Amino acid sequence: MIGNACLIITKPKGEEIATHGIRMAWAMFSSAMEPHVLFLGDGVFSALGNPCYNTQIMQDFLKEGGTASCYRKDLESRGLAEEQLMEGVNMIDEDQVNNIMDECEGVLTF
Amino acid sequence: MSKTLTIVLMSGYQENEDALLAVGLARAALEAGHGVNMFLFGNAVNLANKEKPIEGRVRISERLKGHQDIGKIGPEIEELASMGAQIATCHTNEYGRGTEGEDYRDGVQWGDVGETFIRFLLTTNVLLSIGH
Repeated sequence: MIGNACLIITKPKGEEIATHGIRMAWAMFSSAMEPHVLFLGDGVFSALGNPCYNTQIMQDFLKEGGTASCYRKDLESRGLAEEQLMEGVNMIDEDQVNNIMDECEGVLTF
Repeated sequence: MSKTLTIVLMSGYQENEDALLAVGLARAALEAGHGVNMFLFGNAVNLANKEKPIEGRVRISERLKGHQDIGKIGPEIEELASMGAQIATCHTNEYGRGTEGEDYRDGVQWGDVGETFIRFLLTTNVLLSIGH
């Protein structure tokens, strides 16, 4: 059984695959599993709280205690700042990304 | 010891070789005695449906048809199911593509993220996403 997993979002709002990852994280969380949503690459644009379905699901996920993180280097290299992230998304550095990968039983990339 | 591999496939026919990779990997796992779940997500939901027969001449050159046929892996989906793979679609993605309600290939099950995929996870040892 996979009880926890890291779901890596690498695509911005507007790309269906980002919605797949966020929906899957919400489904796992709703089933008492422990997904960790990780925004990497252009996926950081999905962590900004743009008005869309993805943001609605992420806000529910975070409000209920779900865990989500954004890789600082990828955010800042796109001219974005921590203050622009959705409330509740953690800003993390490379060593923490590695730790998340190590601790999860599965990794899915979207 | 037998393990169960769950593949989340997000690419469909022709767009790249992801579906070919997924089918090949699933077949290898089954032949080695492992279990396989395959969740068809995104464009991969189109792999779930039976093809509609073409009436009359196929108006494609033999060379181009040969190229297209490489990616027409639908029959292999049925074969994987006959070998014991559990294969399910995401009906929401079918709805979004206007294919919900179309006939499924033999062995393919209606599915969703909230229940079917979660049920797959309950028996999963190795989890893999394929798509880009």
